[in-house]
Formats: sequence, C-alpha cells, structure tokens
Amino acid sequence: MKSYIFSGVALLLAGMLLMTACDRGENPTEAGAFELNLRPTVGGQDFIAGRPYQNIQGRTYQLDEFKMYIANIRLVKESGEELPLADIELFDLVRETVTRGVSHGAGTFSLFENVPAGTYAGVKFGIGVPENMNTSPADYATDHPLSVNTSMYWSWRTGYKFISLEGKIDASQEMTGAVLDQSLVYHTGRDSVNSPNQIYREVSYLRPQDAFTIESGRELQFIIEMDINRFFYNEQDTISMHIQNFTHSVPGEQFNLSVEITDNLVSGALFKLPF
Amino acid sequence: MRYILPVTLLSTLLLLTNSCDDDGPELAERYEVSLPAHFPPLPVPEDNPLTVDRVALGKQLFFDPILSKDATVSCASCHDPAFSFTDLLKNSRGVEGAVGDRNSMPIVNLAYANSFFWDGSNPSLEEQAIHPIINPLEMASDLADVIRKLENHPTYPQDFQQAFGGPPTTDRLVKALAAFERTLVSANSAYDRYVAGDENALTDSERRGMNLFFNHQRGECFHCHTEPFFTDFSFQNNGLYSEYQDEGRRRVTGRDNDEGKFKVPSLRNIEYTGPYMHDGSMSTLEEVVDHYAKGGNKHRNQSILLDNIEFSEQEKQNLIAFLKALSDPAFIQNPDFRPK
Repeated sequence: MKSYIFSGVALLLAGMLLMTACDRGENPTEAGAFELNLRPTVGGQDFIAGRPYQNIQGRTYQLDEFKMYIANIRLVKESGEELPLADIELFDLVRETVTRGVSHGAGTFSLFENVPAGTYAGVKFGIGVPENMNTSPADYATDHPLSVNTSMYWSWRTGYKFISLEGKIDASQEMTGAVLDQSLVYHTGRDSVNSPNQIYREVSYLRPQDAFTIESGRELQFIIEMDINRFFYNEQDTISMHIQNFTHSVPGEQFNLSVEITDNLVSGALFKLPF
Repeated sequence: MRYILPVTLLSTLLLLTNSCDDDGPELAERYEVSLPAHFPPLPVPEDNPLTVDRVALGKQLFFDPILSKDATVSCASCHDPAFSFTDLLKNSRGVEGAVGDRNSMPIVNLAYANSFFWDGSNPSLEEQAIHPIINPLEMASDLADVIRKLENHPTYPQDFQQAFGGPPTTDRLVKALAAFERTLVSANSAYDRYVAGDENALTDSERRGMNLFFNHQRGECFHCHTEPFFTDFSFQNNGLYSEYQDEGRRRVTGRDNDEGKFKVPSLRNIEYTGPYMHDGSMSTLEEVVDHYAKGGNKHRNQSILLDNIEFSEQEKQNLIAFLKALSDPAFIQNPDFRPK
C-alpha cells in the first residue's frame, strides 16, 4: 500500500513541476540585470552604415556590413569565480540586432535578466567563435547565432567567419572621395583549420579595486566602444585599406591581416561601466 | 482499485503537459522527417506540430485546385514536384491566364528558411501560404469563399477535424499547407553522399567544380550559396541589371540600398528549376555561370563579392557538373511528395 501512496505523491510532485514549467519568467528575489552593449564609432561619433568616413590616410570609405561574434560572456565575482551568462551571441551592428538563440529585439545590446545580485569585479568574453563551437550549422537550430541563416558560415572546411566587415573605398590617386571604386571585404576567422586560438581573442575587463554591484531593480550597462578607424592601425603599422582591401583569412598574408585587424580592434576598444 | 489514484494523477499530468500547447489533438502521430547528419534539426513551430494528419491534409490541399477562384489552379500548378516544385516558365500563370511578375521559386528545404518570396516579404511558411491564394495573378480567391468551399466539401471537414480537432478555418488551412511544405526536404544528392563519406560519389569533373565553387579566391559561390542548403537565406543584388524594373527587397524595406536585392535561392536541384533568376531571364546554367564570371552589370548595390573571374571552358563545365551533382532524383520522384 505504501508504495502506491509513494507513486501517487511522486506523480503529484511531477505534475506540480510540469505546471511550473509552463510558467515562464519567474524572478528570483535578489536579481538585477546586466546589459552588454556594443557601440561602434568613427572619430567619437556613432557609426552609421553606408555613410562616408575618412580613414587615417585620408581616404573615403563606407561600410555596409559589420557583424561580429561575442562568446563566453561571463561576470567575474570578487572571489575570481566566474558566472557564465551566454555561450555565444552574434551582433549585427548594421541592422542593430543580436542573435542569441532566442531572437532579440532591435538594438546592439544584449540584456541578461535575473543575474544574481552581488558585487562583481569584472567582465570576461571572447571575440570570435571558440574552437569547440566552430563546427557546422548542422549542430545548431535555425534561430541560433551559429545557424546558416546568419550568413557567417563559410563551409565545412573553413568554419565560421568571426568578424565580417564589408564596404567600399576610394582607391583613386586623387583621393577626392567622389567615387568609392574599390571593394572592402574583411572576413576574419578560421581557428578550426589553423592551430587553436590564433585568432579567437579572450578579453578580460577586471577592476578588483573598483568592484561594481548588480542589484534588484537596476540594469547595469557594460559598453564596448570600438572605433572602426582604429581597426586599421596600431603603433607599428597602418593597414592601407585601399590596397589591403580583402581577407578571407586564407593561411598566409590574408590570415595575418585578419589577426592584425582583430588585435587592433581589441587593443583599441574602450570598456565602460557607467555606474 | 488501488491503482486509481496514480492513474487519475497520470491523466491529470498528461492534461497539464498538454496545456502548454495551443491547438489540435495532442496525442496525434508525429510525422518523422529523416535528415542526414550534416543537416540541422528540422525547425517546427510550437503551434503547428508536424503530425501525419496535418501533412496528409496539407498535401491534399497543395494539389487541389479548390483553393483557386475558378478551380483551375492549385499550388502544384506553379510548384510541380517533377521540377523540384517549380514550373518551367519564365513567369508563372495564374487563373484565367494571368501572368505572374516573378519566376516560381522551388520549394526545397524551406523548413529552414526565415523569410519567403523573392523579396522576403513574409516571415513564416504558414503566413506566406495565404498570399498565392488571394493574389489576383495567382489563385485570385477570397479566403471566406475558400473556407466555405472546404466546409461544403464531402471529405475536407472530416480531414480538418482529424488534423486539428475542428472545422476548416484560414488558420488551419495555412497550417496544413505549411506542415506539408515543411516535409519537402532534399538531402540525397551525389554531393550529400560525398559529404557522408562516399568518396566515389562525385566524378573528377564534379570534384574540380566543387573546388572552384568553394574557392576563396576565384569561385566564391559558397559565400552566399552556403552549404548545406546552398543558400544563406540572405538578400543580394547579383548585378543582373544596371537598372532594375523590379525593385526587389526595397519593396519590403523601403531602403535604397535594398534596390535590386533578391533572396539568394538554393542551388539544390538547380538542374530541374530553370529558367533562372527572379524574372526567369536566363534559360541555361551556362548563361548563369557566364553572368557571374563577367562580374555582373555593376549596379550600385551589387554584392561586392562579385568580380570578373577568368574561367576556362573546362572550368565552366566542371562548375556546372558540380551544380548538377546537387540534383536529388529521389526527391522529385518521391511518392510522398506527389498526389495520390
């Protein structure tokens, strides 16, 4: 007899669990929100696709496509322990959308609700597609950031693009900017066919002396500001966009160009926590 | 007697699990679509589960001219399974000889698509199904009329009851059509067998064509015609014209930089789906390859990936051979995709 009572109770409990499964969006009591925000700029102003800009060599260019993957997003607790928020998200900085497995509204930001309230000492994330995810769209549903629908997949031999920049530049001698006659195609990526982690970049923003808090009813914004001109120069070298106008990250010169652009992006990025 | 409590709880539990879903009998037999390892899981919307009854009803409706104003045109009139669900026409024909303004698109692996029609004006298989029914150049029907005809039909009311637990409605009509279309998966070409590990599945010429297709420096085809669907479902201006009569994607977005952009079509079964381009203006694959080799007609929105490429005659033939290796004869002959 006891065993029937037990099975009845177990079923009742299972039923209650299933009922709660239908009830989405329940908030733990002490939780706040964290927002990861990408802000592309040129010369301090917000970047606008299709608008002409000048690079540091004085050449006029425009970009019509700018997408990039941000992976392994996590908050770092004061103890050093990491709180994972997302494995991968695709930021489309032209259409202002973020693909995150669940489709997200307009805006180049990614909102994490229900982050446990507490004090945090930093943010960590990666730029690109980590090797363990750089497989094939067969592994991902069609609303996933790594689905074939995002136009970021090359092929089974070469994996995913990490950053996609496309546009046009004035390559003329006169540099009047009247005609943008040269295409710009910068597709970075490919770790899966090179040695691991040559181009996937881990970024840590740690400020243990100046920890920040996430608390209930508040939304903490973390902004990654990236000056697009800065992708094309560093202390040692300037990329002549009108000549080095193309990379598909084929091993050799193209791959080196992709690495340089990625490193310039990372070293030039500014991280901001307004609170 | 002692079993009653658990059994009652079990049935309550079943009811509770079902309360998350929206519509239709929940214990209906699921329709299984078999997929190769290199295809992602089949996306099926929560409110339209793929059931045997819905697919069967959708198939019957797909081939039935009852959906058109004068019972002369069915979905299959322009989407014939023998041609990978296209017709052989430049522009498709609707009721009373009406001529459509674009080339009929193949219905292949559309379960994976995230927008529909050449200009992507529709977001789901369910929603798009309404448009050919009411378009004056296609079936030219009134939806209320269609539902009345289905209600008065000798078998449809019972079929709808079986599939959806209720009488014909517009919502159920489009769900049934979408369910059938979701099953139209083509994944059994020579290329698929090659990917699955059969190295002899492709001839030398097809293999050389494949290498050109996936070449980052020259062919570049794969950038937009991305495997495994041979489309990335994006919108591109392929430089077909320097001035476009049909504004394409701009019709939907209103943005000038979308002028002349059209959905990148899948290349699967391309051998069967001519004539090509949104307006059917090219009859052969040779013309298509020549167009891309020339680098397009330099429209201002033309994809920057298109550039002049010098192909030898042999290379062109190899590329076309590879395109034909994307043909799936079992798909066009599949009795599940043809009328009874």
